[in-house]
This record gives sequence, structure tokens and C-alpha cells, in this order.
Amino acid sequence: MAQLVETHGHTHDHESPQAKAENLKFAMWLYLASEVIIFSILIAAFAIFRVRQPEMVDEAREALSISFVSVNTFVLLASSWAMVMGLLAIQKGNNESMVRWIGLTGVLGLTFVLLQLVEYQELRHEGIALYSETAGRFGQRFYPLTAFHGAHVIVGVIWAFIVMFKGIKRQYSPTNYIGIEIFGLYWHFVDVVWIILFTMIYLI
Amino acid sequence: MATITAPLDRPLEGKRPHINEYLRWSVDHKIIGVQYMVTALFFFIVGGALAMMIRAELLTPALDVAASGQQFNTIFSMHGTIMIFGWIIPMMAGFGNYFVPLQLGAKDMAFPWLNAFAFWLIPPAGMLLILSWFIGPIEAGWTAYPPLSTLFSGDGQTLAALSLHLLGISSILGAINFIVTIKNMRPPGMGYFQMPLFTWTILATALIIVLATPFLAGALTLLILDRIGGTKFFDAANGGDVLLWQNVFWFYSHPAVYIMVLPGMGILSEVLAVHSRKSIFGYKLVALSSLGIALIGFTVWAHHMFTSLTPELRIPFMITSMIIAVPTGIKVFSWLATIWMGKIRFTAAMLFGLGFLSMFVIGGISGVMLATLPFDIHVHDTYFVVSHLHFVLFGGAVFAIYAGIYHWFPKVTGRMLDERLGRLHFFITYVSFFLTFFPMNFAGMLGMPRRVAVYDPKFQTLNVIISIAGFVLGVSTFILFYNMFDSLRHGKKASANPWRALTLEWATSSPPPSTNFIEDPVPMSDPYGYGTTEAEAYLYGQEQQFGPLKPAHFEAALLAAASDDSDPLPEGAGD
Amino acid sequence: MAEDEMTQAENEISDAENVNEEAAAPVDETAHEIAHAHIPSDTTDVLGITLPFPIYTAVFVILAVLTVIEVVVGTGSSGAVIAIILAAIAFGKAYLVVSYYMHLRTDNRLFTYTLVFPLIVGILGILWLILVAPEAGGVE
Ligand SMILES: [Cu+2]
Repeated sequence: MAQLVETHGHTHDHESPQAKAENLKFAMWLYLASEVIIFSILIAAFAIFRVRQPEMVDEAREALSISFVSVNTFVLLASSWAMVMGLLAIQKGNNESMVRWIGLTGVLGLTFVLLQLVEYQELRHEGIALYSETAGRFGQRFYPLTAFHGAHVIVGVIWAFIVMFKGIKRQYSPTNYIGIEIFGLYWHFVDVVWIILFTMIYLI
Repeated sequence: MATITAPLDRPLEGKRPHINEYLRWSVDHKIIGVQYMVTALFFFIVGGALAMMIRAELLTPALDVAASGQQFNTIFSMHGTIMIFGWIIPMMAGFGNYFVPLQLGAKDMAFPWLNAFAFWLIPPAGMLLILSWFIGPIEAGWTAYPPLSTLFSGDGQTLAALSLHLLGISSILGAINFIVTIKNMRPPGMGYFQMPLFTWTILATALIIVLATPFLAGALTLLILDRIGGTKFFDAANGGDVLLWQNVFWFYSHPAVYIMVLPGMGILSEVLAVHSRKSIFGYKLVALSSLGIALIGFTVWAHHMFTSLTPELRIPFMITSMIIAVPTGIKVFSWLATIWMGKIRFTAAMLFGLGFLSMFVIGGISGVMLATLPFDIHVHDTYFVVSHLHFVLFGGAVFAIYAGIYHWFPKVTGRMLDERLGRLHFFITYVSFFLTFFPMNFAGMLGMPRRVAVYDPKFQTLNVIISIAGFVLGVSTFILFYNMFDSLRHGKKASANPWRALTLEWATSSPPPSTNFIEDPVPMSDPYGYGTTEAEAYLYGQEQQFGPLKPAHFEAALLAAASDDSDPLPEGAGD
Repeated sequence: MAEDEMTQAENEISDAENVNEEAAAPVDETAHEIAHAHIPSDTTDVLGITLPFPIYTAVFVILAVLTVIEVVVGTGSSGAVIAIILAAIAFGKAYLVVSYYMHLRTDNRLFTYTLVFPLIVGILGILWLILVAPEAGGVE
């Protein structure tokens, strides 16, 4: 026991920006860990359906436009890319560039949400409601899952514009960009969830 | 290497924060901890009153106290929900909030603002829960099984589900805070295996919360959609599946048992070691067994579904449920070995610690009985189960909370609780607790179903015994409340370290200053090294530096020069 | 141009250093992490060719290409093999985002565990729920 005390006898500072940044990142990852679990329940609700009643999903897919959703997927991927380019920009000290990239992130995220609403509208016209006796039970497995993801995107869009606004007010620097990095973790996570959802709902 | 702590450079006179501090937003973990605990105690009273109503109803085999069977359903549903989500979990979070940073020698949690935010989600959640009583009572039990919770319960079920959502978010945010704090805020010299065991259990608990609570959130989301969105996830008549709820609910709720009990086990390790002046036996194993319990706790959920699950899937869960008794057993034997040959002080805290130990073992044994498939089929949904869960959650978690209150009240308030009242509280609680819940085993094995207001008259004798003991148990709680209120004003002043403990929360004044420590404390290389020269030197140094440790009744031989105060323990306490 | 020419090999080394999630020394590691704050260069080296954009852009291009492949493979045909291929591609894309955009490749190894453990719990949970789900969902 005693030697452990000796090897770590040096002092450190819990209050240093580095320690705080690391704490924030760890906290964000733990938060994402819990998000993984909650998404897995909603994914399970869909996956059960896909495995046990495949014909209903096949039927519903005829109403879904794959090419439209592919474009939307591309939009979200692009926003993730813009996000990480923004991070790169601030790491290199280019604040203006960072603000532009993060702004692009937010705009692309917003585009995703709007296109998803358009898709919902299309599906409504095809008769796929949250629950309907006639059109099968695709809707109740589809809407909650995609809407829960969409809600995450909306939160992310708001967060992106907040980060952008703070960037305009020059609150970040090459030594202090943890706020952007944390937002990035969240945003990429939302992207990753969509990557899985897209393949599972529309393709497999 | 000697690590004598010199924690303070001014007299050990702490000042209690003004009452207003507790009524508003504060980011001080000590304020937040007390906020948690007081809120939880409020829910304890509410849940306890409901329990009294249940016992009053069950005095006779007929329906008399409750207006209807539905109302009885509501009473026990609210009782369970409030006790679990409003009392035990927030109370443990309160202890964690107050003592984890102190035990780590830290100034605060890693994220003070998040900490306050997590707490302030609880009052609205509590209001929603209580409001549910008035707008369409819940009738599905705390487990909220559909179709009871979807087709039969009133709109209150939706409110309760929203309330649990808030409580879930609160406890996830709190848990993230604990994990980051424990990982990154330990002082130099405190590795994971120099941490106090209470902090260890909070770490294990927090890990469970982060991984398990979202399951409940997912299930509740589907439940709310079924109730207000018109979906049919749990409606078997329309292609839904009620077992989906049961599975996901128990994904969460079995681990939740450990969310409630693990911190209690941590409190017990602290109390037993301090009050028997012994080092923890097998410290490392005890610490790791918490993680073991956390891990195995995720593999046993389906033992709650023995009667609803596909038969061939039951045996694996029977096995895992028995395996989880192993890490628990490690803890029990460690506690026994810890107090073995110790210089035991029968303080109220210690008595409740021993009470936990004895009652939790009974609960553990009936748990293994229930894990045994053939027996479970027999006593499934009977009072045997009610007995088991109360031995674990009252005999375990609540006794631990009592022990924690007696142990840490001096630190939080700067006043000692009255030991004589404390012992009275213990003896009445202990006996009436046993007489309340042990006869339930017989009722259960004879076939009395749980969750009924009207039962076969042949069970009446047992139920009268249970109810009378239950009322005594209920009343005994007020001894504690009286003791706390009275001691706040008139209790003996507590010095920094009344129990002569070695963990860091005792290395600062009682109550601690707002920065917790005046200068960075240096932890002992072994937080439970009682009887070592290092510990003696530390305690002697504390005495020398800050004057006599009040009240002076521990290790009088060592600190003979300092014992001037009157002994708060009537007899058998001094050496 | 390139502030930090940390090559693949160097990454491997710094990874190896970080593996050491030693119980007793969490804080030192924190400091260590920050000291190596990882900023990729403006160019990407692939097979000896230097491309004029950062690795992030290269990953984006790969993600886009994979998505196109997925859509081509996934529309029209179905079956178990196709499903496995699609799932593999999806997980590959997720892996790229997590390891490059979320920096798990170079960041504290603990974060990887923080992601992987719930992922295992979640996937096992999904598989279990599929396993016990009733055939063709109850009464029609
Ligand atoms: Cu269980």
C-alpha cells in the first residue's frame, strides 16, 4: 500500500482546463453510453417486427423512397464532415473558418430534419400512420424510432447554432475548444445512429 | 510511509448553512446532498403512510378501509413506486452526493451545475407522481405490467411514466457525475484500492445506473406511446407483446435492486469497520465484489418471469441468479470477519449495521429460494415474495440508510444524535420489522397471494400479527424523526471526528466548510487501518492539533489525556 | 501546413501507451492525453500518394461511397447474405465515424470501453428480445 502513496506523491490540479476538458469528454461518453441503451430498445422494437413479420415491412417499403432517403443520409454524413472540419479549423486557430463549418453543420442538420418531415408527409399520403388497422403496423415501429432520432438531430442543430454564435463572439481558441469537441461527440453519435437506422429500416 | 494528515489549521467549529440555502438552487454538493436526503425522507413518510393503509386494510379479510379493490391497487402501486423511486434511490444519491467528494478529499463533484440540475428534476417528478393519484389512479403495481398499465390504469399511469422518465434522467446525470468524479478527482495517494468502500459502491451503482436506467426509459417511452399515441406495442390482441415490457422492465429493474442495495452495503462496510475498530477483511475482494454484483446483475432479469417465460429458457436464469449470491456472500463473510474480535461499540449506527447484516442474510436466503425454479413456481406472486423484497429493501437498504444517518448525522449537522433514543429506535424497529415481514413467509407458503385486499379468512391471524407489528414499525420511524429534529438544536456538539474514523470525510470540521477542506488532505494509505501505528499517530495528531475530539469515547486508552467530555453513550460504550 | 505530422506508426505507439488504464494513475494519464492533442495534417497519405485534403475528408468520401454501394446492393435483392453484407457495411461506416470523427482511434482508451460495453449490452438485449418475441405477433 505504502509504495502506491509514494509513486503518486506529486500534486495535480483538478481545476486545470485540461482536467476539466477530460472530465467533460468522459462525461459525454458516459451519456452516449446511456443513449446507446435507449436507442437499442427502440431498435429492438423495430428489429423484432422485421424478423417476425417481414412481409409487412416489405409491403411498407414500397411506400418508402430509397433514393430520397439516401440523399438525406448523405446530407447528415456531410454535416458530420463539416463538424469535424470545423474542429480542425479551430485547432489550427482559424476562427472564421470554424464558424463557417459549424454553421454549415447546423444548416445541413436542419435540412435533414426538414427532409424527414417531407418524408413523413409522403408516408402519410401513402396511408402509413403511427398506428392504423389497415396499413399494417409498420408506422408504430417506424415513427417512434426515426422521430426519436430526429429529436436528437433538432437538439444538435440548436446546439450547433449556439456553438456558432459563441464562435462569432470568439469564445474558442486553439487551446480552448472543448465546447466544440463535446458538441462534435454528440453530433457524430447522432450520425452513427442514423447510419445504423438507415441500413436497418430501408435496406436490410 | 507515514501519512499523517494535517487537515485543518483552525479550530474544528463548523457552521451550518442557513436554512434558506437548502430551499434554492445551489451547486454545493453538501447542500445538494441534504436536499436529496430531505426530499427522500419526505417520500419515505408518504410511502410509509400508504404502507399503513395497506396494513389497515389487511387487518380483516374483507374490504373495509379501501373504498374499492381499485383503490387498494392504487395504494400499493403508489407505495411501491414512491418507496423505490422517491425514497431509496434518491436517499442513496443524497449520501453519495454528500460523502463521495468528502471521502475523496475533493472540493466538490466534477460537475456542480449538473449535480444541482439532477436534483431539481426530482421535485417536479415527485409532484407528477403524487398528482397521478388525483387524475386517474395507477393500478398496475410498481412494475406497471401491461395490459394492466395500458388498458386498465387511469391517466395517472401516463403521469407516473413521465415522472419516472424525469427521475431516470436525474439519476443518469447524477451517476455520470459520480463516475467522472471518482475517476478523476481522487487526491494524490488515493488509487482505486485506497478508496473508501462507500465510494466504491457508489461507483458500481453509478455504472449500473448509466447502463440500466435507459432500458426503463425505452420501455416507458413505448408505454406512453401505447397510452396516448394509439400504438399497440403491448396489446396482444393487436399484434403486440406484453412480454416485451416484462423483459425490458426487468433489464432495468433487477439491476435497480443493486442500485438500491449496493450503496447500503458500502455504508455497512464503513460503519462496521469504524465501530468495531477493525480493518476491512479482504478489502480488495469487497471492492471488486461490488463490480461483480453490478456485472452479474445484468444477467439475471428473467428470474422475475419464471412463470411467463419459455420453459427451456428458465434454467440459465436460475443458475445466474444463484451465482450472484457469490459476490454477495463475499461481502457478508467479509463483514463477519471484520467485526470478528473487534472492539465493538454498540452505537445506534453499529446496531443498525448489525441489523442490516442479519436481516439482509435472511433476505438473501429467501432470494436463493426464489431463484430455485420449482419453489418459485409454488410461491410465485405470494406473500413470500413480498417478504423477500422487504427483507432486502427494508432490512437491507433502509437499515443501511438508518445506520448511515446515525453514523454521518454529526458530520452533516455538527451535532450528535441522541444515542439512547437511537438504540430505542433500533430495538423497536428491529423487532417489529422482523414480526412484520417474517410471518409473510408463512402466509406466502400457505398460498396467500400478494396485491389483494380480500383474502381467505384462514390467513387472518397471520395478517393481524403482521399488521400490528407493521403499525409499531411505522410509529418507530418517528423516534428517528424526533431524534433528528431535537438533536439539531439540543444535540451534543460533534467535533470533526467523533467516531475516530480514518476516512477523509472525518478530516474536516463538522459540518465541513464550504470548500470542504482548508488545505488538501492527505489520505491514509489504508482507509481502514485501525490499530496500526499510522492510524494511532493520525488520531493522536488530530487530537493534539485541534483539541479533544468530542465526544470522547473512542480509544480512551490511547487518548486518555483528552477525555474531558461527558460520554454520550450511557453504558457499555466507554472502555 | 502540417503542424503535426503524426504518422500511422506514431499513432500506434501513443495508443499502446494509453492502453495502460492503470487503476492507480488516472490523472497522470489525463495530462498525458492532452499533451498529445491530436491534430491531423492538411494532407492524407494513402499508399505513398499524398492527397491534398485532410483525413476527415477522405473518410467522408469513403462514407459516401459505402452508402452508394449499400443502396445499390440493398435495393432489389434480399436474403440472408445480402443482409449480412449490408450490416457489415453499416458497422464499417459507424466504425469510421467513431474512430476518426470521434477520435476514438487516438483518444483515451477508456472512452472506447465506455462505448463498447453498452454496445455489447444493447446488442445482446436486442438479440434476446428478437429471440423471445412471439411468432407473427399474436391474434390477427
Ligand atoms: Cu431480480
